[in-house]
Amino acid sequence: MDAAHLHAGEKVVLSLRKHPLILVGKLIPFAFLDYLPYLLVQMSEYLREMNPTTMVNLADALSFDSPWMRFIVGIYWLFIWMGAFGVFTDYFLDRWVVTNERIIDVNQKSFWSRQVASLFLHRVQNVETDVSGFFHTIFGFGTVSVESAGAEVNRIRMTGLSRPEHVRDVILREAARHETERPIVRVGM
Amino acid sequence: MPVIPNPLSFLSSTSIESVLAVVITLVFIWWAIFTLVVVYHWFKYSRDNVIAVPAIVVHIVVSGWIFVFATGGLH
Repeated sequence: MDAAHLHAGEKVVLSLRKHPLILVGKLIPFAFLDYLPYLLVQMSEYLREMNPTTMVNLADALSFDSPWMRFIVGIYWLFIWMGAFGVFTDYFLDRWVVTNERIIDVNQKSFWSRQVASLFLHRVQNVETDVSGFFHTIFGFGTVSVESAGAEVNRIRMTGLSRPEHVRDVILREAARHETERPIVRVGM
Repeated sequence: MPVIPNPLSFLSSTSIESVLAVVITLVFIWWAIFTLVVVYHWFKYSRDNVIAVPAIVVHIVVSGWIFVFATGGLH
């Protein structure tokens, strides 16, 4: 969060992103798609070995020595790369910031859709952590849900966070500190 | 009997070089728009991140390498 977007006297306590393993998981399909042309070439060579007398020699057409094959695969790889880089960018633009006043949820849904929500610490009613699943337990990442009090219940869900218990403790500590530092206003006295 | 013109007759007069030039230009325009949007987002929302500039440099270098790979064999 840029300092320009914070209130006067507001300080960043935690700046959070999803666990890097989440990014790796999202990039795996792109790695597989990148490898598909190699599979195609290997498959065509295998078919040629199986049937060397075939009239149509796919192996020659589907070879990286062929300029057309290089062109088509190159364009294909360029789009795969753009997709992967878009996912990488999205990973870095999604973040949560815990300040001494509020929790800010920055959600970059797409390049043309960005959502920023705040939940003030004095309204925090409940902070939950959820670590469930094999990889979540092994690598120590999970979800932190923060609920606000009031007529209209708001919730910020921080999914895929590293060390969610630590994040919960920091939020609770900051909320408690904020509560003790608030001036008490007595009404009707 | 009236002669019906072949709707695909323009293909015989279209050279493969011009088709390639159009395809490459369209792909480059698409890539350039994507890159501009990505750079805008990195600098507007995450410019304090140390990874912003290296990420953009890597994107441009890798894209350039793929462009060279794709068009290297064409004459």
